[in-house]
Amino acid sequence: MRKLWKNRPMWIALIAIILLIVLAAFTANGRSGWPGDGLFRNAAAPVAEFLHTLERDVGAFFTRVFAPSEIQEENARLKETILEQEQRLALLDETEKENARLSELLNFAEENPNMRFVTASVIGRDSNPYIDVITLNAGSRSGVTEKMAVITPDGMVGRVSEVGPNWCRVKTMCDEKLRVSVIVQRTRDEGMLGGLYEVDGAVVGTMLYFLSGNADLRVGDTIRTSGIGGFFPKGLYVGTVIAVNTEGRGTHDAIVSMDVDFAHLENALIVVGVDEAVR
Amino acid sequence: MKRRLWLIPAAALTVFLDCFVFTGLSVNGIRPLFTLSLALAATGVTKVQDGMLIAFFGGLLSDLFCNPYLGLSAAAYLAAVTVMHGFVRKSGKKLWLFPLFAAVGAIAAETLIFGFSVVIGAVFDPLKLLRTTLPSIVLEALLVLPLSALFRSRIKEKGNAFVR
Repeated sequence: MRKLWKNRPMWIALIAIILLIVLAAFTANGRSGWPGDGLFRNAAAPVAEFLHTLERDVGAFFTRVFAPSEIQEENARLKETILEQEQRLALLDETEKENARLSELLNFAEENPNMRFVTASVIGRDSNPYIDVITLNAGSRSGVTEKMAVITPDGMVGRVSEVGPNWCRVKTMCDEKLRVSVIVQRTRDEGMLGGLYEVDGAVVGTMLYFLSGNADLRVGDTIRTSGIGGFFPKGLYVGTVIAVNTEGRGTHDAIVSMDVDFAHLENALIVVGVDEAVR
Repeated sequence: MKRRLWLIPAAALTVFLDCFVFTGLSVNGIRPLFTLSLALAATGVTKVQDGMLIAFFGGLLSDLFCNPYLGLSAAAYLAAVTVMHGFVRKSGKKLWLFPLFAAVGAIAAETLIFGFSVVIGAVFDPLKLLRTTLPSIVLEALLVLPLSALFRSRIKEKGNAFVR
């Protein structure tokens, strides 16, 4: 017992504990009434703010280090959201492009009131790099019949070769056997268009034949359909002359460009009727 | 007294860790009181006065910054240090026993905090005691070992003057 009395640190500790508990009891109903507290809190506020910032940063660091699963989960969620948004954007982009294409077709149809069109989308094509036959999603139910002309604002696409109830196959201008009667817009000279002109295996255009001997053909001349033969309506844009054969009579007279991108064609107009007065 | 001055910033650092770092790292409320562990380690390795100094300043700082009752943590830490000191006096400074003594000290501290809370109207929750307080005490006790080793290495550096 005497030893215990001599243990000064223990007694100091006990007294301090009691005093501190009394102090804690005074602050049990909140420290706002405590005279020194407001002063201390005001002084400590910037320190606390700094420490809070540190806590947030340090906490974030440790979270990254020790709880990567949370980060991974959040990462996965964000990736999912991004993917979803990307899909939406892609869909929106696709819709926008389709809208632009269809608007272009509509404008073309409005510019040619003498013709009646059926708008169709490409639903199939040959796997060849330069496609000869494409399949459209319009058929006899829409009034499509064989040998009807298929066009786009960029030029001739081809001719309907086979028709189903809701589909048709179109022989494109790339087909070697397809012949179209055309006219040079500037000189009114008539000719025949058909067959691909290739240089080193690459198609550069179609060949133009049977122009009259004194025809004044120049590079840049516009070629349109003549309407002769009855398959293609008169006046449809075909292409422009990109080269003229100046070496006398040979295999062809000129090369005409094909502006239609057959490999990426998505929509086309099928000419289902033409005003007889024009035809 | 001069040689003990470094204990105050050390206590402040542990308060910072307790209030601003471990709170962010706690899982289901389980987190050690680093200041308490430091005070207990100092009590075991050096002198009880060192432990008391850390307990008092660390506890007060802790209360000022992150506890609602001013002085409660300081009182609890002092209680833990006193209990630890009692054990160390009886058995000598055996490092391997420190976690055990520290655990008893920490239990004393938690009991004081818990008792005070109940007196002022806190709801008694035995599950919380079992799930959070007990694991926290174990962590505090385990933390005493490396901290004690740290104190010992410092004693070796400074020689006996550090203790006396």
